[in-house]
Amino acid sequence: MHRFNPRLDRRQLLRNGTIAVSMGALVAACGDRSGPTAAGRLGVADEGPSEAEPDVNDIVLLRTAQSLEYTAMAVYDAASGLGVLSPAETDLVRRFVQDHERHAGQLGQLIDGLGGEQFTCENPFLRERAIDPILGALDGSDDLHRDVLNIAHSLESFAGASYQALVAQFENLGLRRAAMQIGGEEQRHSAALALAINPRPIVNPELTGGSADVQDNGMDLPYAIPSQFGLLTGIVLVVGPADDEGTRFNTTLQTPAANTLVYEHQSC
Amino acid sequence: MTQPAATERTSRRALLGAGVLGAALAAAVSRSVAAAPLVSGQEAPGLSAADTDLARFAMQLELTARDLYDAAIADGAGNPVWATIREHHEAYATRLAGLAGLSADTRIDAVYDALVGEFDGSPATAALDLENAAAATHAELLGLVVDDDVAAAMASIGSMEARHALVAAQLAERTDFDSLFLNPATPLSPEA
Repeated sequence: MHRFNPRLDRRQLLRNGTIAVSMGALVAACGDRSGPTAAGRLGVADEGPSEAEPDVNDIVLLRTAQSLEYTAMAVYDAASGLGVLSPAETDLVRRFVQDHERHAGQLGQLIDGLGGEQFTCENPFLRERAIDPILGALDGSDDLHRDVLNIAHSLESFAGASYQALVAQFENLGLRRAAMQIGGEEQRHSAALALAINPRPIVNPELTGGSADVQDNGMDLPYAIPSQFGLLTGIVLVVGPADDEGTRFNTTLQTPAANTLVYEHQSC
Repeated sequence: MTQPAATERTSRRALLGAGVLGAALAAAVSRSVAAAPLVSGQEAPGLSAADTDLARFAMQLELTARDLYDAAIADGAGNPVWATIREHHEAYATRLAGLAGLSADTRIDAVYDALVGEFDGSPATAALDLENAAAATHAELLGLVVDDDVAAAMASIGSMEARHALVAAQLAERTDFDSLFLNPATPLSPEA
């Protein structure tokens, strides 16, 4: 039961009110989180010039696309050297390499037309963060043939998705058309490899109410028609031998973002 | 199958490759646009009149493709892949119509009438030509449409139609790499 406190006189009320106001001010101050956002620094040396945010323009997007073509060619070169592909698969890969060379040349012409500098080498971020680890994980593989085909399929799917993602970013609408034409060819490569790995069913069963299957290494089985719309989600690749716990190397290929873009100041 | 019919089929097929169909399509599209509830020049909220027209054109092409696969299935095309592709084209039309504030209910009759004879119980070759034409058309439209959402939808659709084409080529037992990996189709254009 609440009782009136007879000891609470007027002076005390005033004092308590002052405390309440002070607490309010303190809470308000704590609630203000709009302070400086820069990282703290030690010492008194000059901060030096600030690094400008690199410009992501059409030339950067085209250079990035060109670097993806060179990355694909390099991976096929490494994969072919493993000697695990059948003659028919080798012919297929040879054709893909020709297509990627042509794409790189087309992109180069577009870069030239915009006054940019071509980037005729692999994407450095992808090489370091994805390709090198993937190829390194092949050591001791229990099925090198399976792994090489899966790498090729993932890479072509990644390329197709990358062009789909880049299309909407071009300022010059004419570049969208060119990118889409190249991207369509990458999608065809991907579908052909899916059929080579998994001839049937052609359509992902999930699209017709069924369940998608997995390969013996735990990686999703590829389908020539994997989805209704072209997807931009990450592409999961599993390769290499299983460790003691049955786990294999896996990585996710993501469509180009800030780290993967090849800016104008970068050179091979 | 009689020889004259085969000749007729070949010539119809050649229409797509030669792009002659583009003119017929353009005329058909003009009529469709004029008859549609949302007339040319009117625009969906947030979409320019030009983008609305381009989205309508693409949507009508998708509905035409859907109806052509319906005809093939009705004629006995039993491979379930055709039903799946049919569903995809309907979904594409719905997506484009939704973005443009249109009803997905108008196909291009001139195109349908010209091609429906090809979409019989064995539609693989006709499907290859149609999917190539559709993919090429979306690539072309991407060079015209300004709205980012419509562009993203067209890029997504065109990506899958390229895969449809590869599958159709395989089912048509094409083995030459150019048929599998290149798209020789002339894009259909509403301005042809």
